[in-house]
Amino acid sequence: MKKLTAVLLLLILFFFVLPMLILFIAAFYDGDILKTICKGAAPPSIGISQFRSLFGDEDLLWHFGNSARMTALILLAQVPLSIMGGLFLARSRMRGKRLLLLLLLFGLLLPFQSIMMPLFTMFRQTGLYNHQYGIILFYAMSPVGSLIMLIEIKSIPDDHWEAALLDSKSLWSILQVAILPQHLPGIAVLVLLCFAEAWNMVEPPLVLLSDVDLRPASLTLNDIHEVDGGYLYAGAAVYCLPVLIMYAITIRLKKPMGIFLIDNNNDYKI
Amino acid sequence: MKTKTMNHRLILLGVFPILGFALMYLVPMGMTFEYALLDNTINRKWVGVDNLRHVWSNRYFLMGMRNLIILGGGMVLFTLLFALLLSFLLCRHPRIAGKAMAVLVLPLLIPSVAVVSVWRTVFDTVVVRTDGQAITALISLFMWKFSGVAAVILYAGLKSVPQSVLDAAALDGAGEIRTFVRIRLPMSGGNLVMAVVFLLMYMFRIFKESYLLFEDTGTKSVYMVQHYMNRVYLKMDFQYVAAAAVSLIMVALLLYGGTLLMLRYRRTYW
Repeated sequence: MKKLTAVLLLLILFFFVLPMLILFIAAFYDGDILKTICKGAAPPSIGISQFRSLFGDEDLLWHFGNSARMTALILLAQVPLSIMGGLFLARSRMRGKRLLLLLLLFGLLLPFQSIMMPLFTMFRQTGLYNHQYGIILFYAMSPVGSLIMLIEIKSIPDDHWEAALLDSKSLWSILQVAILPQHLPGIAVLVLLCFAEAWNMVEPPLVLLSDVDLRPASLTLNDIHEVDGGYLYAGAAVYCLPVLIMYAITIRLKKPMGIFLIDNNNDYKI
Repeated sequence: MKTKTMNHRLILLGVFPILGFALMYLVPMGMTFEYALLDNTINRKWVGVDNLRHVWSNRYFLMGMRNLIILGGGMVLFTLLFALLLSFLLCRHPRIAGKAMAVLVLPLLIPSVAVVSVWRTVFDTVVVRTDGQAITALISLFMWKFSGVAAVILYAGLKSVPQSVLDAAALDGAGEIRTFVRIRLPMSGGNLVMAVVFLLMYMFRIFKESYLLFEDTGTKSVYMVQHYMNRVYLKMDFQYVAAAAVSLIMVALLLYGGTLLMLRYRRTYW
């Protein structure tokens, strides 16, 4: 019986990997191999010429560049802000802090549609509309980062913090010596999650960037479906690569279970 | 350094991310409520619940809302059941579980746009769309993306049940399933509720995947509230967009509230 359930588990895990496997295998075909399998169209051949067409498509490369630039700037802004926010939420003592935390969670739980319209108005009035910096600012202020850092910093007991306080003269030196080295895996997780969220942005650029040339590839990738040349899957596979690489790096730094920093052994008193 | 000085520095540090969050997320939320209660952005005449009444009598909005609750609720239910099964299997095979984490978390990080290219061809969502096809495509995508992390959340809680309790249960003759349902699950420390909240959070964001799969024109069964909002948004009837957003927020709060109420009865039943 136990063997049966083990096989079932492995089968389920295989189904989790399956779509990505399909994507990467389909990327090496000259045309639309999935269409062949599902609808019986003409079978394409295996080859890498579609990669040549992919890297010759300047439009798509431009959109990839948009994605890369926006994500890099978002990370540059969001990671320090999140560390600051997490430090504040975890270690400071302030009267309204619980309420602030509740508001952060509230901001996390609601869909983008609830704020898309006022954001549109706000951005128009401040001139941020149709500029990539507006989106970058919006993503940089996301509450996710601060909450992740809160959990991460809280996982270290308060005594370490008190000891560091005794030994140091400034916040910056405490950061350098005590906090950053210890939390490096957690910060790697933060970078990974912020990267994945920014690399995957769909709704904000849809609403706040009317100029298609400014939009990231996460919106425009499927437009090359119309173009003949069959490099849709190649493009999608290439688009997945950065996330996979970052994921591989982060796993080496921190065990996968820690990715969501879920640890039932800690009692989070905030 | 004195605690008080450090406290002040931390609060100063926290101002930036918190203020930014308030500006980008909380202020627009307030503005949404404001717009929902006004005539339109030009006249700014108070109309109270008239906008809400108008929106709730629109058949497209009702269609979107009905789909959100039925389809969305169904998706969450199926995903939760599947995640429960998965977490049960993970509990039985801890050694496989350790390595399985990496695979289970991955679907959440992969950009939607990439996997959607596979889904679009396999489920044929672009051209021919029957109701059943559309629902299958959406539910399968949702389950693939989110059941992994839901299972990880559940597993983290289930793992923390002390072995002594499990041994006592085994001594008393409890089988695997009974142990799981009656002992591990209730003692999992509210992780079940966490998983439900997690799934609900992403249920409200399903519009993103729906948009990528079906572009702007879904069939009747997958028409979401957000589709209605986009339509009215294009007509510049901002007050109706706001009223719809407020309705969405209300439904969300109801669902989250209900789930958190479950947390209160945690000791007794879950």
